[in-house]
Amino acid sequence: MSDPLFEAMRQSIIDGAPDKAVELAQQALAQGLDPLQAVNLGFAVGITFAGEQFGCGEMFLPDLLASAEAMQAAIKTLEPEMLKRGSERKALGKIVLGTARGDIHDIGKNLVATILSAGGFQIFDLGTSVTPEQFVAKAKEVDADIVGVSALLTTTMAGQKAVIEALDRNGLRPRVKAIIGGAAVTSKWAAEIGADGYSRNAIDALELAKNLMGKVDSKDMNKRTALA
Amino acid sequence: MLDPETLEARPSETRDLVRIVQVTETLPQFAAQSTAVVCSDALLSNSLLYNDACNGKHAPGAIADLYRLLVVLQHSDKPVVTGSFSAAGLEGMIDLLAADSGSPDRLRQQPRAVFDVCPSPPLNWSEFGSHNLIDLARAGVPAEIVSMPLAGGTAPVTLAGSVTQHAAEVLAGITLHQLAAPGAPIVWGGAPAIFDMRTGGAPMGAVETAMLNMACAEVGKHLGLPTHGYLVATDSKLVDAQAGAESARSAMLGALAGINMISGAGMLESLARFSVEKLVIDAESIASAYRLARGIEIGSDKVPSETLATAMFAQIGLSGEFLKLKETRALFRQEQHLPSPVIDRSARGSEPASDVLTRARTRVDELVSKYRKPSLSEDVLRKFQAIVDREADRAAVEEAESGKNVGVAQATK
Repeated sequence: MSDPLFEAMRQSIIDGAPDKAVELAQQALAQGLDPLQAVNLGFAVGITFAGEQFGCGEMFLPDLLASAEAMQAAIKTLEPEMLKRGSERKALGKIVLGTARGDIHDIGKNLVATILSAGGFQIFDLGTSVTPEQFVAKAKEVDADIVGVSALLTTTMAGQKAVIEALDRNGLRPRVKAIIGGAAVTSKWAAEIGADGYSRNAIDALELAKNLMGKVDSKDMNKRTALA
Repeated sequence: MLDPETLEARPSETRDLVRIVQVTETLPQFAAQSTAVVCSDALLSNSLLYNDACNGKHAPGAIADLYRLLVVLQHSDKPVVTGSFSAAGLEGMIDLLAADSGSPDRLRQQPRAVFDVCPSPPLNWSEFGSHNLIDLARAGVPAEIVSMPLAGGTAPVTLAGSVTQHAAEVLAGITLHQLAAPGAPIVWGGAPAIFDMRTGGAPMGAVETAMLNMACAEVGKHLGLPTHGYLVATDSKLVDAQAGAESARSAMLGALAGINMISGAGMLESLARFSVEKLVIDAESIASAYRLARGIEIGSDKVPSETLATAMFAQIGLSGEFLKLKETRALFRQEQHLPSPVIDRSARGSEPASDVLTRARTRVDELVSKYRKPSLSEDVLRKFQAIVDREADRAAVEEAESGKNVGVAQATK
């Protein structure tokens, strides 16, 4: 990437500087640049790099959150022009998120929401202590692709199972994928309750969601537990 | 639970809780017994009177808090640290304790248990937590407010800012609690920690976490309240050098800060995992911490000697035979903490050298074989049975009703 503007865009995301990102986005619009190109060649390169740096322990959660916020600010600035040109960045998918019934711990869930949103997903965050019925209702309402349930405590992990059962009971799966996460959650638990996926952290959750979207195929049930 | 043989984590079961109680019961280092783990295999039967492990029906998940208290009361004589998982669940637990004490009044006069109640950081009290505080105050059963600010995550990143938030949350809880029943017993508790900027976890073994606990307790002491903290825990997943270093360090710091009650012994992986073997190793750190807190004594009741030990020098002169002195024999048990064989001080030659986990396994087996189960009267057990049956029915009805709601939701679609 040689263009200094794209390079500056990338850097504004890595620096977690929303003001700078917005300024560069406006500059691109003034120059008549294709906003989608500004995202794909500039800003998105930065967020990918930030994710990698976080993954290898070079960047930390506050850095990553700042990068995600800068990304969102840039996209928001570019969005009207993308809509005008009919080149809006299509959401990768719709994800309903919440913490399991009885669990009020939402730091992890919020982080996942921010990263998935910055990564291009449309997020419907139901907040904390969400009942299986609420998950099902929201998934139907917005025609969700993925439902994500977080649980910090061993005592509330059963709530993740209840959501998966409710999705099954309502005939939403396998079309809607169910993913789980949280401090006490393991891949073994995910397999045990038949979740479609599990990830250890927010960055892996983005990878997981992308993979699942590539696998959305109502006819192929064998792939269901491939990622669990 | 950390399985001591496979060294892998597995869901905790009733037999694990019983083993934790058996070990805690036999170790004088532990002043109280925690309802430490949730039993994934909770079974109920109508043969509670004669049998512990029974082939009954599964206990509803909603009474997991009651079930673990039941297991502890059946196996322990020590004071109990526990907590309720819901607003509705508290009543049954208090009834169980009242049955154990003889009557609600006796429980009030000499409460056997303290209940952890948690605010929701930052600066919130949930309906559930508030209800628990009020109900405990009215029952005269002590509440221990466990505020858990995570510095940088759910609280200001500065340690001082997190101490401030902790104080505000606990004071708000105390206000609620004391308005419900002025003078009701309360503990200035806490589980403050830093927020791990890589994982988003709460590193309980971090030195800053210990510093937070010390500072929060200092505020409580200033207010003249009994204090509590969460220390002697580790972030390691195994019983290894990290586990030992972090747990022993915070045990020392907690003792130096004079915190009255400390939870956390036996715990690994930031409080997510328990190990009975770690519990017996932590008992050694705790004994050392007690010793440290006692300090170097001069002419105290325990160590009746004069400061410069001139009498001992006079008797022995230059011969160096202090070992022969009657003072040595009379005082060494007070002057030195004598560790169990978990701590390796063996002389060279007593090979093969073993590691601490191996020694801890042996120690756990020894303690369990020494343990004697307290005997409860048939009358108390009968009362336990009635309470557990009643609560199981209540929980089953609640579960069925929430199932019904799902049915309704389906029907409307």
